[in-house]
Amino acid sequence: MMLTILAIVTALSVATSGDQPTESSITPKEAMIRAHALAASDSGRVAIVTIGKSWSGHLIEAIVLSDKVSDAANHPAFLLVSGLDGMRPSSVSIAVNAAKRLLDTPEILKDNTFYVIPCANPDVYFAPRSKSSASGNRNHRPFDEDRDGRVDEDPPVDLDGDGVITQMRRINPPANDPPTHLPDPTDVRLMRTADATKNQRPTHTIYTEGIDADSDGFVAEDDIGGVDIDRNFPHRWPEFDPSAGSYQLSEPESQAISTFVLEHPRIVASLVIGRWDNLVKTPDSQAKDVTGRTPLALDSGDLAIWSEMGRKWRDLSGGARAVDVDPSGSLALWLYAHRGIPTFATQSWGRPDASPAPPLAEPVAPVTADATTPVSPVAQPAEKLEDEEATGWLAWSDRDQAGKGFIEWKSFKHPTLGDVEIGGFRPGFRSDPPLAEVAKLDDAVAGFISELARRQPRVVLRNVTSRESAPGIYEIEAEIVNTGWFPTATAMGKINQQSDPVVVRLSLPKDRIQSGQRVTIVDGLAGAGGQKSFRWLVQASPSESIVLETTWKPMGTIRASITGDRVSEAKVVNP
Amino acid sequence: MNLIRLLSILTVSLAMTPTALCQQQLAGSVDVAWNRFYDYPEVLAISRSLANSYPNLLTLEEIGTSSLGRPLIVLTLNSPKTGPASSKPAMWIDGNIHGNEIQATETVLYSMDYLCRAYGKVPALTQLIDQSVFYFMPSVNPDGRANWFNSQNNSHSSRTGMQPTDDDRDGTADEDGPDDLDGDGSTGQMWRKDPLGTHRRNVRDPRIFDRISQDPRPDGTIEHGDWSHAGSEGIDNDGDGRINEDGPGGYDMNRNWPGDWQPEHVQGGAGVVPLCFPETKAIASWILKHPNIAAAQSYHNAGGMILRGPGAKERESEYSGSDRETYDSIANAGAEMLPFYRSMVIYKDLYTVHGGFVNWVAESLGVISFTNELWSDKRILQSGNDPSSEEMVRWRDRLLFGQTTTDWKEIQHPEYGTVLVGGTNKWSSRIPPPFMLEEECHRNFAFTAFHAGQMPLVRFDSVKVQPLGGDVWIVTVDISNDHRIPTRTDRASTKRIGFPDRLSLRGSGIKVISGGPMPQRLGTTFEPVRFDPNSLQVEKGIPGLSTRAFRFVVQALPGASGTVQFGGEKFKSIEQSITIPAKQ
Repeated sequence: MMLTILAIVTALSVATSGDQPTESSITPKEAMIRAHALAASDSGRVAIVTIGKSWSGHLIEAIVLSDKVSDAANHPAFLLVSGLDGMRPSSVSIAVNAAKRLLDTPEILKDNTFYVIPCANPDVYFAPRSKSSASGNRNHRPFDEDRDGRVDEDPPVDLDGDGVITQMRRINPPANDPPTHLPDPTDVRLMRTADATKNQRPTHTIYTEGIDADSDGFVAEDDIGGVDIDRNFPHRWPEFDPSAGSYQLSEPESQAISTFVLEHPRIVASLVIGRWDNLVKTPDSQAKDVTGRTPLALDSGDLAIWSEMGRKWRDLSGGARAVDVDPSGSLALWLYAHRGIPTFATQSWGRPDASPAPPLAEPVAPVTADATTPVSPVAQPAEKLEDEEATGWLAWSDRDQAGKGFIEWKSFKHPTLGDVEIGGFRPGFRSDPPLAEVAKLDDAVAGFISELARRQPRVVLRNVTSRESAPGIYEIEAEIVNTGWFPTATAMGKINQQSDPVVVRLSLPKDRIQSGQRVTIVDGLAGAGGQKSFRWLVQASPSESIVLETTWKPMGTIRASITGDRVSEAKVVNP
Repeated sequence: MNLIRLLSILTVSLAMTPTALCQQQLAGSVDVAWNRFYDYPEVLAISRSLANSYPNLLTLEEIGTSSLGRPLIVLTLNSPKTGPASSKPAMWIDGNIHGNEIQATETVLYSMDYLCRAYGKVPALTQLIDQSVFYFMPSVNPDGRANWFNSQNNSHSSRTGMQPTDDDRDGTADEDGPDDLDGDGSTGQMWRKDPLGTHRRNVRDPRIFDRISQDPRPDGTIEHGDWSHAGSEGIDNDGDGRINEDGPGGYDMNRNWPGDWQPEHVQGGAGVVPLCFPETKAIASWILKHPNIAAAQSYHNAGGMILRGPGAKERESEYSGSDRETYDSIANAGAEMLPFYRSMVIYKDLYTVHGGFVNWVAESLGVISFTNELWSDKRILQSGNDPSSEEMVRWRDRLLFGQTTTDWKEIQHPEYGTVLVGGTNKWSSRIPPPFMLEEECHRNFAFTAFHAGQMPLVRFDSVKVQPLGGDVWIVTVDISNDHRIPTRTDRASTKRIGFPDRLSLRGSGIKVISGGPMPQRLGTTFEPVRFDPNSLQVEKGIPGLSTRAFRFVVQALPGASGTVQFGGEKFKSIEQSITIPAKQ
C-alpha cells in the first residue's frame, strides 16, 4: 500500500520548470555564469570545455580542474555529474560551488584532475517551455505521447494561475472515468489508492493540472518533450517506457556524456547528483539483471566499498533519508555496471525531520483562556501511517515551512471535467533543498569527491632486485602494490573487463626470458595493500640495461632500470 | 491441339508477356557473372552500374562511411509509377555484416539485378515490385570484406570491422594478428612433431591428420600420435607468449544493435555501447527514418539456416503465438525452397545472441525478420548428409581440383621450431564454390521475394451504406489483408511501436456520430469509441489473411458523398468514396 501512495506522491512531484521549486538561491543559469567566472579568474587551474549540446541546442559544459589544467589529461580523474533532474535545479549550483571549493584546497588538485559537468540536462532548466510544463527530466525532443499524430499538443496547464502545475482531483466521477483514489484517512489532503481488504471505496479520480486540449478524452497527456536522459543509458535500459528514448543513448545529452567518459579513460571514480541514491541506502548486492550476469545495481564484491563510502557521505551531508527510485537506464548505473567505474549516486538531500507535533489539548483546565492548542492534522493518526514519506513531508511543510510545501486543494470549475479541486505538493518541494541546506551540501559534495581523490588507487613498483645467479643469468624480482584505498579495479570492472589492468613488461626479447612472462596482465590489485610479486630468470650481459615497466592507465607508467645487479629507483613517467 | 492453334497461342503470349522465355536467362542492361565473388570496389561498380542502367527503378544513396572511410550504400528499388517509396511496404535486405561471409553480398546484388531484369517481363515479379519497395544494402561491413579479399585470412576470420581494438588488453591494438608463413595468402594451420602427439598422419592420405583415441588400451596405457596441432598460422609478434591473440579489429557488429544489447562480459564482441560503430549507427538511423519497413532479411553464412529471434532465452515470451505463426508460415516455405536449409530459432537452435540485427528489427521495431545462413556442406554430397573428412578431401580434389588447399610445407617457426604449415585456404568452406553460387543466390532471392510478397496488402472487401431511418445511416466497412504479414504485428501493437493504423470517414455534409470496430465481422453490433469517431485508431491492425469489420453511424442528407480511408505505416493506404443514396 505504501507503494500506491508513493506513486501518487511521485506523480504529484513531477511538475513545473526547474527554476521554480524553492526560493533557493542560485538558478542554474546563474550557476553556469559563476562557473565561467571561475575559469576566467583562474585560467591556469580551471578550464571549461563544451562536450555537446542538448536537444534544443544548449551547451553541455564540463569544468576541468587541475593544478595545471593544461596537463589535466595526464592525471587520474574524478567525475562529478549534476543537473540531470529538473526537480533538482540547485544541484547545478551545488556542483559549481563544489568545484570552487576544490580550488580552495590546492593540495587536492595536485596530480589530480576533476571533471565537473554541472548541468548535464540543460533543456529541463533553460529552454522555454510552455508556461508551466511538467517534464521533470525530459529533454525537448518532440514526442507524441498519445500517438495521435500530433506532437506535444496537450501539455499541462496552470489553470488556477498559481504559477505551478499540481494535481486535480474529481469526486464521484462519471462511469466512464471510474474513481481510483480516496483521501488518506491519516490526512485527507493526501490521496491514496483504495485498499479493498480494508473495505475502502475509491471516490476520486486524479489528473495532472490541465485541460483536454486535443479533445481526445485525456487531460494533459501529451506534454512538451521528450526523453528522460537519465533513463537513456544502456544498463537496464527500460525499452518501451515512453520516456526512455527510441534506443540506448539515442539522445544528444546521453551521447555527449557517454562519449566524454569513453574519451577520458583516466576517470577512476565518480559522483552523480540526480534522482537516484546509492549512498544513504546501499543497494542490494545480490540481485542480478535479466541476463543473470550483471548486477542490478551493485556486485557483492564491491559491497565493502559502498558501505564505507555511504558512511562517509552520511557523515559529510548529514543525510539520513533517500527516496527509493528505479534507476533503470541511469547514468550512474551505466558508469558502474558497464564501465566498472565506482560511481556513487546521491539525491543530495532527503526529507528532514519535522518538528514534533504540538501536543493535543489536555483534558485539564487551560492555563489561560486563549491558550487552546490547534489540533495538528497528523496528530494521533487513526491508523498506522501508510506512507511515512508523504506524511513526513506534509508535517515538515506544516510545522517547519509555514505550509508552503503543500498547495491546499481549492475548488475549480474545469471546462470538461466540471467541479474539481486543484492542489497537492508544490513541485520540487520534496527534492530540491532549501537555501539553508545548500551551503552544507556544497561542502559535502566537495568533501566527498575530495575523499574519492584521497582514496584513489596508487600503484607502486617496489622491492625491485636483480641478482646474478650464474654468469650471464640474472634473477629479477619485483612487486607491485596498491597503496591507495580503492582497488585498481572494482569487482564489477573485473567482471566486465573494463577497469584498466595493471600491465607489467620486461624489455628483454622473449627468447632471453627463461622463466616468467615478458608481458603480464594483472586484472586488478585490491585496495589498501593489494600486491602481486614477480620473478624472472633472464639471460643478460652485466652492462645491459633492462627496463621494467608497470602501467596502470589512469596513473601512467612506472619505470625502473636494471643493469647487472644494479636497480634504479622506480619513477613515474607520463606519456 | 493442332499446330496452327499452338503457334498462335505462342505468338500471342510472346507478344503480351515474355513468360515463354522462362527457360532463358532474362535479358538485362548490366551483365554480371554470378559464378564469381566481388571485392568491394567491384560491388560498388556493379551497384552504380545497376542504378545507372535502371534509373526508373533503382536509386543509390550513400548513407555514411565505414570505419576506414568506405562508402556505405543503400539502393532503393521502387517503381514510381505506383507511388513514392515511402507510401509502400518495404523489405530491407542486407548482407555481409560479418566481413568473411562474402556470398551474402552477391546474393543481395543478384536480387537487385534479377528484379530489375524481371520488371515488366515477369508478371509475378512486376506485381511484387508494383506493390512494394526494396531497400538493399549489399555490404554492411565493407572494411571486413576488403580485409577478407586483400589480406591473409581463413574462412572464419575477418568477421569483425576494422577499428583497431586491444583484444589482449596490453595497451596496444591489433599488434599480434596471423602471419602468412607459407605465402599462400590464407591463414592455414600449423602442426609440429611431438612424440606425445594427439594426431597421426593418415596412412592412405598423409594430408589428413587423424586424431588418436584417448581411450586407454587394454593394458591401460594411452596411445600417442606423433603430431600435435600448433594453432593457426602465425608467430608471437608482441612477445607475450601467445600467438595471433590480437589481430585486426576484434568485435562483432552483429552484437551491437540496440534493444537487447548487452555489454562485452555478457555478449562478446558487443562494442562499448550500442551503435558505437559508424556502420551500425548509420544503418540504424536510416532504418528508423523508414517506418514503412515491414520485412527484413540479413544474409550471413553458413549452415543452411532460416533464423528468427529471439536471440536469448529470456526474450522467448516476446514472440506471441500469432507472430510465431507468421514467422513459421514464411520460414516453412523457405525450408522447401532452399534444400538442406532448416527453419530455426537463434537462441534455441544456434546459440545465444544479444544485440543481433534481426533481433533489434523484430523485437524493437516489430518487423518480421529473418537471417539466412547461406550455404550448407550438405550441398556437397546432395544427400542430406554432411561429408566425412575423407569425402571432403575427395570433394576438394575431384570437384575443386585442389584449389582450396595448400600443401603442407615445412618451415622454421621462431617459437616452435620446425612446423608444417598449410591446409585449407579461405575459399575452402562456408562459401559455395563458384559453380554453385548462382543457384545459392537465386534460391535465397526467391525466398526473400516470397517473404516480401507477404507484406501487408489491404483492400476494402466491402463498404456498405444502409439507412437507419431519417438522415441517419450506417456505414459498414470490411477490410481484408490478403497477405500473411499483419499490418501491425502483435509485437508492434502490444509494445505500442510506431503508430496505430487509422480508418477515417470524412465528407462534406456527412457528420460521423459514432464509429468503432465490430467484434464479429458478421455480427450486428459495434464498439463505439468515445472520441474522434471519424478517425478510428486501429492499434491491432488487420491480421494476416484476415478481414476485420468496422462501422460508422453518420448523419447525412441523401446524395452527400465522402471518403473512407484506411492508412498505416506498413502498407499502401486505400480509400473508397461513398455516396448516401437518394431517397427512394
